[in-house]
Amino acid sequence: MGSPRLLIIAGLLALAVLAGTYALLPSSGGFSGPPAQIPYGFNYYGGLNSSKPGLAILVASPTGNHLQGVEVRLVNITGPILTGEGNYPVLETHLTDSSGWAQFGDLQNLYPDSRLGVILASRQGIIASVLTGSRNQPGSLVTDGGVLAIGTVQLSGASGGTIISLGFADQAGQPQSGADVYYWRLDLGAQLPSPLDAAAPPDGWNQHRVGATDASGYFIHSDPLGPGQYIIRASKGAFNYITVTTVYSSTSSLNSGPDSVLAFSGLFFIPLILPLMALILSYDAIAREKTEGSLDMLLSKPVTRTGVAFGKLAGAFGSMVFPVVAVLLAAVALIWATTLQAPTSGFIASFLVEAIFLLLAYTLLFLAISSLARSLGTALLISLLFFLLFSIFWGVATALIAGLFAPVGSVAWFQIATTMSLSSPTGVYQQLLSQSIQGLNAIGFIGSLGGSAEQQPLIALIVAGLLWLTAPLVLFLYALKYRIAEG
Amino acid sequence: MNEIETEKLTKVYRGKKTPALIDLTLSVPRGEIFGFLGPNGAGKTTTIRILMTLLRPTTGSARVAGLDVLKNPMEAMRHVGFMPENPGFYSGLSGKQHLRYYASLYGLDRSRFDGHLNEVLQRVGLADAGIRKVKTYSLGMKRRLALAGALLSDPELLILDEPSLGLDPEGMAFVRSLLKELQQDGRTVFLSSHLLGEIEKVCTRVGILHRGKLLRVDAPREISKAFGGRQAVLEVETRNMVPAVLDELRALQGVAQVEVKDNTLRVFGALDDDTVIEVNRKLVAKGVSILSSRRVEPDLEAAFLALTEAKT
Repeated sequence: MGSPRLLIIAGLLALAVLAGTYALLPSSGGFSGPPAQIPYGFNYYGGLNSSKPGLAILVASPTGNHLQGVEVRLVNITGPILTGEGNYPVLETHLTDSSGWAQFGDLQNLYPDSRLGVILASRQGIIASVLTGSRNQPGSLVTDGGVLAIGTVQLSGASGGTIISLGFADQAGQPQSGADVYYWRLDLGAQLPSPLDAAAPPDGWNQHRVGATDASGYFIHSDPLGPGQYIIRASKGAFNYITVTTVYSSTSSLNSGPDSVLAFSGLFFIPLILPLMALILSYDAIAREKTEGSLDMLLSKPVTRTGVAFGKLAGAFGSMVFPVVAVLLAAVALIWATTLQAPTSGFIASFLVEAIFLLLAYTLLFLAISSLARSLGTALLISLLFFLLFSIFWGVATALIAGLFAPVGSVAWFQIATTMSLSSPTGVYQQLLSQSIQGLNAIGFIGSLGGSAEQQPLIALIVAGLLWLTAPLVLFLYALKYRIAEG
Repeated sequence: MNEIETEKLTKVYRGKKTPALIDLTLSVPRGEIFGFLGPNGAGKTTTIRILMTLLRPTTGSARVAGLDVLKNPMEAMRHVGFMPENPGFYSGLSGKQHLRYYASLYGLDRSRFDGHLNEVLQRVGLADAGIRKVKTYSLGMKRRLALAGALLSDPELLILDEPSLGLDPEGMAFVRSLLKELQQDGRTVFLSSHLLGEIEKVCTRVGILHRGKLLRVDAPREISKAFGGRQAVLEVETRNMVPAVLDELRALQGVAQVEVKDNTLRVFGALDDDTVIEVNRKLVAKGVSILSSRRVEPDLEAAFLALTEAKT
């Protein structure tokens, strides 16, 4: 049954998927998960007269543990502040105390006329900075009594979302415990209230209270938050501070996370190689036997045409499905072996099911073509045409046609394009795949667009998928039972 | 009971105006060897393909082993062994592997497989070649393998499309003896052939097909006698030929033509025994001396040509 053919195309699949997977794996050997240390930097001015500039850092973990003994450096930043560039002269080194804080005071006297900054020893990037001496501009940096530093951690993987945490201190850099914390969410792109420090939600701040700072002046909101603009307020007594931080739609880069690495092969290799595999092994299943006369030998035996059809299907599909599953599981194993993290099992399962659907749909399609075609050459030609059309051109075609009806990139355009793309098995596959990767939001080559509200409902995808399995099957059976016997 | 029965079988191929088969009605009783004769394009293979459930007739019905081929194709095929004109095989498999595959389709008893397959291969003369891949087979070997496939399930009916085609004289003799064997065994055989000489020797009855129509069904000898007449010759070596007797001979019933060359008189016609006796009597009555008289029997080919020429 063409086993050299099978070996070649299975080898090609293995090469593409495994090489592609390997190329995407992070070279450091692990995925960059949430950072182990989140610093919160504070610059303050010791009272309203701004005569005592200071810097402070609170270091905590993503889960809210205050980290003691973290090395923090005070550095002299001369010239423009370039994050992470150069080696700034280190002036002082402190370790965070048991509450996670490190304080740098008396800067005016120790380092006059300087721009100073604090960094973590473990990584580059100025956390906070302050000016001393004549460069100090009193009055311009005075806030309403408190200083608020916000830390955000973007979570990758199936759940996604962002965790927001904060540290709250007064103007002397003293942590404020027991301060009330409020989060008020506005949509992305919504107009922010102005002036910000007078802002209040329509239903009042009390409705938006999420908790209070701990003894270290630290608060972490451990439920991940979705996209939006978050107006955050901390207040204790006379100290009150409002700031805003934005969480964008999670467009995790393909490099982040084992799920994404696996998904990469689903986006790029599977839609090309699997239909090609199905073509190579099925296009001549019936046509060749017709031409060479062995079909007569078969059909003149006590067998039903339906039996012959399913036998051919089992032969073609059965010989392909095992190598395909093996290669995909090998990719999972490769990811796990290199990074010690595996894609989530739910995602692996849906990924496999979707790939099997794609393989089966195209096998049935090419078997149907094989049984309808009059000659082997016609079977190959028509099969190739369908392959090229569905696998390669259809994405472009649907995007272009949708562009005739709605502006490119708009929600309407997206909906037209995705509805049209259901008219190819590859389109159904790609949409099923993107729906099973939450947070990836990539629809084939069209790229990252919008959120789940704009995608096709899952039920539509399932119906389209079932149609793409039954229609070619019916055509195949019809061709074997009636067309071939017509002469 | 009839092993094969067709009732007004008609086939018009898609896109063609002329029917390939027109109202074909014939029956083949059990134990008969039936020969299907016809020029190229007459519809023999069409008929066979319909009987073998490979083709659907446009109208009409056909029964094989008592079962309707349209309503009960799978059951019907259980009783038939088929040898197509152009058997197709899978070049990467051996002859034996093919037989094994067919045997499994027939649902043959797996425990007796191997012995049975070897037997069949031996019978068709492929005992040594059975393990070789079909792509190494000559045309003759492929046809023998096809024959093996037909014999495999020990069927009560065999349908053979051009069984002697591509075989050497030894092979053709083998087919002949095989057919006789099968008949003695009580099997029924339906075969089509171009080789009229072969058909004549083995068939119980013969059907002549021309342009989709069945012209005549009868024992080969009867057909020859009825239609071969024009070519039949009575050769008489004579002395003292009298020209006047020639007209008298021409006037005889069954005589088509009379000619004399040197001393040989040739009488053409449908020369049954009575005619020959009359010819001799007339010659003797006129005083013509007969040195020898020899009848060249009409053959099927003559009949065939006569029949089909007449219809053209």
